[in-house]
Amino acid sequence: MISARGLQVALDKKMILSEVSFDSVHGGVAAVMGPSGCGKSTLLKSLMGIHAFDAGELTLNDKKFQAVSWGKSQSFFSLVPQVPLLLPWRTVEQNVALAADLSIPPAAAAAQAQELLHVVGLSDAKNLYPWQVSQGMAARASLARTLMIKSDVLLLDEPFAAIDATTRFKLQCWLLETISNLKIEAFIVTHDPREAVILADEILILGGKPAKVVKKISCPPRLTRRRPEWIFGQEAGELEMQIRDALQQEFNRV
Amino acid sequence: MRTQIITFLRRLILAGGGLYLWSLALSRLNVPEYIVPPPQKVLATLMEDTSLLSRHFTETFKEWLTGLSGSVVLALIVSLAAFSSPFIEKHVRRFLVISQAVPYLTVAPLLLLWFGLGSAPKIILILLTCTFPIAQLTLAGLHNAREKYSVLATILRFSPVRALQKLYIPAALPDFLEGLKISVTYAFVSTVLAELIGSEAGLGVYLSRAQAAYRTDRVILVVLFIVCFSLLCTFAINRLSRRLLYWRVENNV
Repeated sequence: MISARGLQVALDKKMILSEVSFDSVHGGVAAVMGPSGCGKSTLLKSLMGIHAFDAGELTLNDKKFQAVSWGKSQSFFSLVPQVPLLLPWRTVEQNVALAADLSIPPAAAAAQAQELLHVVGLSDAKNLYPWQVSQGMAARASLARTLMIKSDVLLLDEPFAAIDATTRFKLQCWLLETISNLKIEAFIVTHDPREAVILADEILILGGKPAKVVKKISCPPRLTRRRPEWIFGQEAGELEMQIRDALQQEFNRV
Repeated sequence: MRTQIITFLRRLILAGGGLYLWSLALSRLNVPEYIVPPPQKVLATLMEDTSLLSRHFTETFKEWLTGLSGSVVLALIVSLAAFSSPFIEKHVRRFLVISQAVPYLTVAPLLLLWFGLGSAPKIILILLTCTFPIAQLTLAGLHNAREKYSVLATILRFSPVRALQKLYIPAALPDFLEGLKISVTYAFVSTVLAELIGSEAGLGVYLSRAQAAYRTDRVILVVLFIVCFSLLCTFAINRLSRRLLYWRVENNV
């Protein structure tokens, strides 16, 4: 569970985020949305420890941290980056296995990697090199790699942007399933209101310059959302419209 | 295999044709043999001088191999040290820039005065000329790799050492090989030039004696020899890099 209060991030002396506050739902999925360039990725990267916070407070599972001293060493978050960043000299399976903890013997790591590749539907591609697979496959491999890492909160930076609509829908359903099974929380940056409707228990809309959370939209419980007739029904459509409106407002303001 | 044979035959015919034109031009233009020797004369000299030439070549080869290996080791140490510490990098860069501004052909006599006519001054000359390109390219490769993969290192929770080992060094390998490619032939020519200035043995000695005796056939023989050796080295390195960089797209088409 995360509580963030007054998070502030400046990059190159330019304030990107200020006064970002939110509380995550226990075991929930939050979609982070907002105009492009508003700082969604920056928020994720800062939580990951790639960029530093300048002010604020983080409460993680009832433990309080000053955001300024939030470093890279933590193992609370794991990130699926925007670009897959697969190493070209390793096969898909070797790329995924690379994320295994050093304490795990290589054979066990390979087995774990194969299991995850099966889950993301890449079993047939495990011996291919990154240049031999499509962008969508690379994105799935990157997702599998991050899932090798144990963490409390999964951060996803537009993980499905390069994936075709059919596969994307399958992966979204699978991701929700996985998150429910692992009982972890997730923050997912997305541009796609549809994706937010399917995945998110709560939607945070970032806006303004510097950005903060300007709006919060709650979604129906997961059990409801999982039913296909709901996803393609009127209520989901209305929710999607609501998100689009809120985003449009922020776009117009920029 | 078939295309390889065809390519080989084509090259053989080209080389033979070149040699034929060479000897034809000489006889038509009435160029005296002591100015430009015909290919058959050069070939005869090769047969005649085989043992002498191989003795000199062995000497040059030893200096070349020692100097080049030393350069590679030194370049790797320098680039890794510079990569891991900005402080070292600042000073190393300054040194590398200065080291490139020195005209080594003019330093060679000084090295000979200091270190004598043995192999030491040649090896030092190679170290001075060839460490730079390898170190420079490797360092640039490491920096590019870090720019590209530092986020991944954080995601995977790699320690700096593990990131270097698993991400940055493999990613910088192509750049290191580029540097090696440049240095391999460069080192050989440097050695011969240093020997030319003063030495007890080596191809340069053979060359300077041939020049003193007005033996153009021997001079041309050495030139051709160096060309062949350089081509052979380039070929070997290309083979090696294709093998090491099996994952590059251009090595798989």
